Amino acid sequence: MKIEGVTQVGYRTISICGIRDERLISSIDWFLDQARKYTEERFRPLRPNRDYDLIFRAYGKDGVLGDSEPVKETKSHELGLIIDAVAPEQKVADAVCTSAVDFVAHMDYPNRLTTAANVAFAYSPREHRLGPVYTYNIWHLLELDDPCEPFHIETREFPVSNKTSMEQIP
Amino acid sequence: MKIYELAKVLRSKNAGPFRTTFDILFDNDEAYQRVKTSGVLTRWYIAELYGMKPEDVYGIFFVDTARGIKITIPKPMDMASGAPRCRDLFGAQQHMPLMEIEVP
Repeated sequence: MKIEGVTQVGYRTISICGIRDERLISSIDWFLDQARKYTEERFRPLRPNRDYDLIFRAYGKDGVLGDSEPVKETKSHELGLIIDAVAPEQKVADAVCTSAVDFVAHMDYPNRLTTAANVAFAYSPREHRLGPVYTYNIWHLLELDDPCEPFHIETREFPVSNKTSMEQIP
Repeated sequence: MKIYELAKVLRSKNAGPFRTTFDILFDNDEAYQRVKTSGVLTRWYIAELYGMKPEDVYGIFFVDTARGIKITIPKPMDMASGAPRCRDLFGAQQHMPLMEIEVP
């Protein structure tokens, strides 16, 4: 018998934006590393154990394959970026996402001209709550001689004939 | 010749939440045998393409009657289906590095 189960690992808040500037696209790895560093510095006094996760998903670069992406330098003229925060509480995920969004939107980078904002946000408000996040934590095979062994089967007959037997039903 | 030029179907999908499996299907024996006998599909090469140790590759299976090849690998530990860092819920777009393999 196959057993599968999940556990809640936290809550998620994301922001979706686009980048249409070759100066930023050409230094995107460095830029996102910096944004992560600044966000972590901001949260160090509040969340010293770094119990949140900040994920940058850069579509047009390595959004699908991640480290397995063989194309190391993107030739795209435009990138889609999801700023994705997962934390033990929804309001912490909100705060981490908002901070990261602030750095991504307004942080300096080499040859930057766009001092109004670095990215185009798709939606208002900039951040969106995606709610609880779950992950697999049980994925096992249970070896059984009898496949019905773990299942308790009980037969009851209705209508119940008298009051006494009705009270026995939990 | 690239492997995608020889195959009729080349796809990836989840094999449970912790594994990605690839199916490479051919519509003629010549193309299937060419890929099979070329020896390019080894666990060492697959491991290199997907950034893992050769012993972590679950298996590479050649099924002559189906003119098909099946390869199964583990997902990175933090990228199980639906996990916070998951990039591909159904594992449906992990085939590209495999697709580009050069077949002699």
